[in-house]
Amino acid sequence: MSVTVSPLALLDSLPLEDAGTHRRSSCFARFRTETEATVVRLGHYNDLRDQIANLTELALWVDGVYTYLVQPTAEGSGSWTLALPRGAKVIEVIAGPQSKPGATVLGSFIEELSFSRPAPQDLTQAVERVFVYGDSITAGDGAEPGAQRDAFVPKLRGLIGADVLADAWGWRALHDDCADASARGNFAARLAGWAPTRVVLFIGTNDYTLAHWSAAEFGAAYGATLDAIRAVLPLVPIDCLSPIPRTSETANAFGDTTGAYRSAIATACAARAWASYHDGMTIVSPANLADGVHPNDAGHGEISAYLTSILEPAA
Amino acid sequence: MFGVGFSTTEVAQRRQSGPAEIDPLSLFSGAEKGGFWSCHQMSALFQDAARTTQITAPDQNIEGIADLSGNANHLRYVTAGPLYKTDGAPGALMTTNLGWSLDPAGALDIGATTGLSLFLTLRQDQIDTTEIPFSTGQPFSGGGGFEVVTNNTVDGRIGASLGHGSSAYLIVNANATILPGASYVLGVVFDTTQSGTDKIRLYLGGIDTGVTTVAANGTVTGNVAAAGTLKIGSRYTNNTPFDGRLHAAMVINQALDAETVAGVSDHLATLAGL
Repeated sequence: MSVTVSPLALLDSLPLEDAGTHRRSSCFARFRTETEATVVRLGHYNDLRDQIANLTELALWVDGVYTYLVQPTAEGSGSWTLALPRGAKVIEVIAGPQSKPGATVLGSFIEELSFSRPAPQDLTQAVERVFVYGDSITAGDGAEPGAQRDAFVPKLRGLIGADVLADAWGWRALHDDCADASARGNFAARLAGWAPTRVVLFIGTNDYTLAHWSAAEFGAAYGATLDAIRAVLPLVPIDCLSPIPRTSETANAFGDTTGAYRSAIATACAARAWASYHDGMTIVSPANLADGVHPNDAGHGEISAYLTSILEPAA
Repeated sequence: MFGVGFSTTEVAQRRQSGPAEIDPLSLFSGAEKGGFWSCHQMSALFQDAARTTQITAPDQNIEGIADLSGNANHLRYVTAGPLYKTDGAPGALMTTNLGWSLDPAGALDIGATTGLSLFLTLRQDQIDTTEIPFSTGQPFSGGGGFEVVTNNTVDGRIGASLGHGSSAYLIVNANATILPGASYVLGVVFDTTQSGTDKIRLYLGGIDTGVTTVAANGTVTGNVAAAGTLKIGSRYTNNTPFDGRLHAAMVINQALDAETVAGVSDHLATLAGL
């Protein structure tokens, strides 16, 4: 008997938001089940394909092996049916990346799954839960096609055996979320709601390139954001990654280079012993940039390897 | 704790579709036309086309298969038949161009009907060239036949066609992908009373895959299943063979609804140990 599941919650996702036509999850959110089904129909929804088709893929893993990549053929609802191996196996379906090329955040989401045999959803959490706040790099840009395999967040899950949530989309900046005390409070509360055991902030390159604010203003807000997180998660370590290299790091409209924003993060961390600074310049080689800004598969590999080195002792 | 806003009883909206398993034989209880051939019942498998010596062990050549539907549409293989296999997905190992034909040779009598349903339990061994596990040839009411295609575009997709040649035809691909080694129950429902691509519905494991039109010409109408040369395991022209395991095949002169397709698919999957 076939079973259809419309998830109201997903692993590695903030609570799903009802957007009317679909439910929005965090990017790379996971549906997991152990099943003997030999067929699954993956129902999906995306509102990003017309602008960035490569970022609308979803992926299916079988027993930890990346098996299928589903590329929607149009915006809106769609489905694709996949044959699965015989016998019991763990199936994971991973949602797509997200971006904000205009006024709203767009993405590619899991809508409904139909299995040819019972497939109870598994929402068992890992002991270690890493919350990564970031931009298009955290959202997997540069690692597509196959971002669910090659981007650093899904890679990290496999490397450290932890839940890793990517709260990220393309063009995101700290200015979008933490421009004032009220916004920072809301941001911290939302982050704490997921109950992370570790927080990684990987933000700032768009604050520089879009010149939302000066490096000094950015640094002050960054420090206040750290304090807001600390207030609701007093025992959770916070790791702060500064922007990775860019092909061009010339001064922006405020006269500040990317380096000035890196220094602002370092300064904010230096004043807070419980926050660890990590220099993005040493994490990704400039040779591993796909387009001058986003890391390629090898660059994403460098990030996941680096994060593994700092997170694994706690995992 | 788990995220905000959902209790453990609210993590998903679930629904089960389709009745319990449906034995295909029950669909023939009203003397419906068609056929049901399955490797799950060794007593229906024979080492000779005359169907006198039963299959008794793996790796014997299957040269005759008795029709379990009661319609006496028995099958034969004109030369050394496919090997009977029981490892992994049980069934007949198909590798040659010949395929199964009716015994005595001729057209499958399925009557005058605007609807027809077809099931195949298969294991796809590789993804290389176009393969056709089920086919009927001309002549056909309205001038065509129907076929099922695996590897339709050599990318693991499956498809089906209704009608062909200079007549009206419709060719669709399932919105689905098969990986080499996958075992599955494929269901196809042809219904010329429907419009557009709804004339052909493709199911995997009882799940409606949705389809994409590959090619179409005019509008296929009228009887879907008049006399045509039946071939199972290859095309009616003795080429493009299915390359893998064939566990069961069934055809019936009805356009079954989705729930029945799911029930039959479940039963066929159980018979094949899927």
